[in-house]
Amino acid sequence: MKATDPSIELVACGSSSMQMDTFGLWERTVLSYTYDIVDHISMHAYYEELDGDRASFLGSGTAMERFVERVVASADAIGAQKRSDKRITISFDEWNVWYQQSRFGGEQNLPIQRDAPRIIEDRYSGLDAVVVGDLIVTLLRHADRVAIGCLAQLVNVIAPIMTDPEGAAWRQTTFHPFATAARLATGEALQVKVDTDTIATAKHGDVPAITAAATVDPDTGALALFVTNRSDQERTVTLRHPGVTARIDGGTAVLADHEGARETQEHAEAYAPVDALPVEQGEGTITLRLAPESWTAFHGAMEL
Amino acid sequence: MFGSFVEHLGRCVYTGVYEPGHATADEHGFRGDVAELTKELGVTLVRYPGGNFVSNYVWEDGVGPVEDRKPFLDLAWRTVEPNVVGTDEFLQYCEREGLEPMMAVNLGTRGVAEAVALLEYCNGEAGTKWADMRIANGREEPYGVKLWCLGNEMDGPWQIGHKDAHEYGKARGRGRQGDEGDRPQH
Repeated sequence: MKATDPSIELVACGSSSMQMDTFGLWERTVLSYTYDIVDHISMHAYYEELDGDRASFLGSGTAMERFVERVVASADAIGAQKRSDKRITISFDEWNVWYQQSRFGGEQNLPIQRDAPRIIEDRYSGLDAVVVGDLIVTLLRHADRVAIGCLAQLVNVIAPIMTDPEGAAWRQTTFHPFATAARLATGEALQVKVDTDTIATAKHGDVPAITAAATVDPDTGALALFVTNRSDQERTVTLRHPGVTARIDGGTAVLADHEGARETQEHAEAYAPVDALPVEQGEGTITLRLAPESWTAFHGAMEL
Repeated sequence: MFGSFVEHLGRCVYTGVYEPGHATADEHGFRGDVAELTKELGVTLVRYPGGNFVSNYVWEDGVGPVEDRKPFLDLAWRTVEPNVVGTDEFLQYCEREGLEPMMAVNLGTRGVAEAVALLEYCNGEAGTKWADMRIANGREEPYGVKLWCLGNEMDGPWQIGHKDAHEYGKARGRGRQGDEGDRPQH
């Protein structure tokens, strides 16, 4: 394909999930054949709350982080073996919350259908929105290696946007963290060091209680900070930026709920982001308050 | 980073992004309310047309005069695909909406030849068979699609045309690097 058009970038298939038996070996084998011609390797991951295990579900971003780091390690192992300075980046071209195990009966059990049937039209909760926000934190934290991200999918099928045929289109809960982050995250991702306690989870072991990512636009100084509080308590976080002038002007939060999936348009539209809790500006520090089980996007500015 | 994904699955395309006759539909049949929300969502890039769907998709059946296109049974989602929206409709939608397309090729039931043909259809200059087919279908300018996915989830046993890593890696076409390719060390 590159002989036809050398300007294109190619994505090789990585594993369909980290749970595949061939995970790791697949990446290394495929890249051993294709390292010189491909630019990216794909990753796909879906998360869901299973058996009421809320803590593990809220820790999904950590599972995604480990997945990214393992794929990077696998790709870099082949790069090392080939003594190559080229770095393969990641196309995370399917990610989302999807109740694949608990709600979807599997494609092999679908009847033959026509005329745009309703398949996998998951409805989402406030809790799902927080997890989507936290998955975005993971992606931004790894923006040095994750070149492409695709929320799967766009409309109706595990999607932030729903429609009725001949009727309305509306936003699901998961629309809000994505739209907020897409609007605020500009320029470059910063390396944010987070000191936090951990939460014990059944599926992922100990996971950080607080996660954070930040971006700054080098041209305008616009600063965005995305922080997840996975704990069920309000938390105070101190942002230290010694030697750099920075301020936070405000923020928007999405909050988890206990209502389950919002099945109807009306119920979904009743969900909206809220104003972030007030911040306290200090000398070289900013104190942030985070609602329980929340994802907050702060916006401000930084002098570079 | 803020990309999304449109697959021919369920109602993502039909009655999702595309619904001619809808009160908000544009002259191409795409829903204006969905386009508006997509803009508000801040999506910058869209992967298409699958997903599992792509592994049995014959892209040629989705181009040319719509009245000549025939439906086919998509075995991935067990749904009859009417082939009303295809490559040209999607890529022109992306252009109108300012979205970067990311195209996937079928490496399930098909191979490198058909993938190269699709690439040439999308990006080729006049004077080759596939580029000229695009022009005959009313689109002079190449689309210049930059991002290409080499199949979808080829490691998955559910995938139509599922391959093991060696078969998949060797499908790279010409220029394979001898021993590294033939005897991967792991």
